[in-house]
Amino acid sequence: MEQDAEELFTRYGDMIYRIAMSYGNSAQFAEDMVQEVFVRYLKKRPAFETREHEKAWFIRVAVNCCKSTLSSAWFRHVCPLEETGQTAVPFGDEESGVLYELLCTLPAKYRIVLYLRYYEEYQVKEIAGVLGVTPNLVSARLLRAKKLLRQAFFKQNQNQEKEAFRDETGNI
Amino acid sequence: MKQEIYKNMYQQICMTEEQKNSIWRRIQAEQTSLANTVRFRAKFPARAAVCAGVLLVSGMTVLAAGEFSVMDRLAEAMGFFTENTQELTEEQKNVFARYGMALGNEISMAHGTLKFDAALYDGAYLFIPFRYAFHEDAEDFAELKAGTDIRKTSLWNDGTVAGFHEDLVYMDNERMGYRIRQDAKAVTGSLTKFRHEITEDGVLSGSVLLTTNGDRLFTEGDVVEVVRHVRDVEKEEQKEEEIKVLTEFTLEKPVAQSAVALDAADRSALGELGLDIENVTISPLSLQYDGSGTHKDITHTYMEVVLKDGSVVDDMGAGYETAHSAAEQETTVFHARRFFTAPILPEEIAGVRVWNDNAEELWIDVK
Repeated sequence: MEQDAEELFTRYGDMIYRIAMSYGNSAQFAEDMVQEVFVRYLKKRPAFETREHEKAWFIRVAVNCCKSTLSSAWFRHVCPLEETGQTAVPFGDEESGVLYELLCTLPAKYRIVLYLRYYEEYQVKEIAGVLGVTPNLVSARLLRAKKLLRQAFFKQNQNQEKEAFRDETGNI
Repeated sequence: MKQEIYKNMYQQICMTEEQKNSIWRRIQAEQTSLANTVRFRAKFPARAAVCAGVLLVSGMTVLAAGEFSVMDRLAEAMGFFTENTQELTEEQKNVFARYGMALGNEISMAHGTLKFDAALYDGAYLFIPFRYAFHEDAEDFAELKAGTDIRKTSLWNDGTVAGFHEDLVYMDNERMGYRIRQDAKAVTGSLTKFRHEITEDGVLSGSVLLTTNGDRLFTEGDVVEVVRHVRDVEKEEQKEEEIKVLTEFTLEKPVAQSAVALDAADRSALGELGLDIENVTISPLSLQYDGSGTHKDITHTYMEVVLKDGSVVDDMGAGYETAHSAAEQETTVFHARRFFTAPILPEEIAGVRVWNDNAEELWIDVK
């Protein structure tokens, strides 16, 4: 039993962590969600037919845990994250850091579809199944997410250009 | 944008070994508790442990006459707890005066003494301000002067306060919990916040908010027990945790609640939003509603109380209890509640606004 859970933790721990980061954008929140998902697993001990089924279960429960927690009274009333010093993701390259910053400007519903599509490589239909929404909505969110990312990217570049032209008095 | 860029970025979002070990230890602790058929379980998420702190203790119901006014203590504690910055009217303060219970419960713990000052409840929520006085012989006690920020003392360690958290949250094989004695029902939710500023020499103050799971609400005459679960980690054959009752107090008069009358049209309109609502209840402290729906509809449909002057009552967000279900499409029974940031008066309520993510909206008159 112990080995079984530990193996699953090794297999899906980081995946749940990434999903939670997509929703909560905080290491502390993501840690709580990893814990909560595995506690649910231990309580329920579902029987999985295939590896895909197993993975989909963990994704679905992670998504539900994140959404429930974010909408709960508890979540909104804890100390600011900066006190724990665990908000930043230490990226090894600038490109990833920039992309992460841009992603953080998007609502969670867009971040999660991008994650499932481009990292987990799920098809639109599969994402719809996992999130409990229609494939059309997933497609729309993917399109919208990419559009918002582009806008955020151009806005950021524009601001940087403006900064470069700003004089000592702050005028452009 | 190329997929490789996404992949590369997401690949770097992962747990460190330290994080993995820490989470795995907590999961193991939960697993052991489950295996031991724990009857009373109070959950302490990592966030609560790291950030705010959790739980408490208590003693006997004694009016601490002359030491503080119950009304003032509750008003001050709730204001801090809910982050309400609006000044309370006399009518709002009267809610505290009328329904507040004075408690004088104290318990001596390893590093300090915990004192419950007062309590206020409405069925769904039980609010208890507390003070924690460090023992004078505690290490670094001299640093704990009134007005000092605890985070600037040597007791502050990565979000926790040495001694305080060990006593009130979690210590090796022990953990704190609450239950209702009458039916040995464990309280299912708790949130504790404490002030970072030391209020008097050697004393941290804060409040705890407790909830049950909705099918058993707090009622007058309930004896609330503060317990410590003890598990001997050396004895593998031990099947049950030892539970020590540290103290208890009896709930007196609850804050008055009233049911919102729902007519057929209201129920039908709520049904179109995906919710089959059984009851909607409002007290000066909270809004509660229960019924059934899919997980998605439950968490994506929102309710708020609107006053006659048009203002919306601020609350601390919704807390939900649902039957266990991982699937969003399954229908499940639920109980939802919202704790207001300040008391409201029944005669000032105009109605309840309900809406969802699809911008569908419904108004329920409160008469």
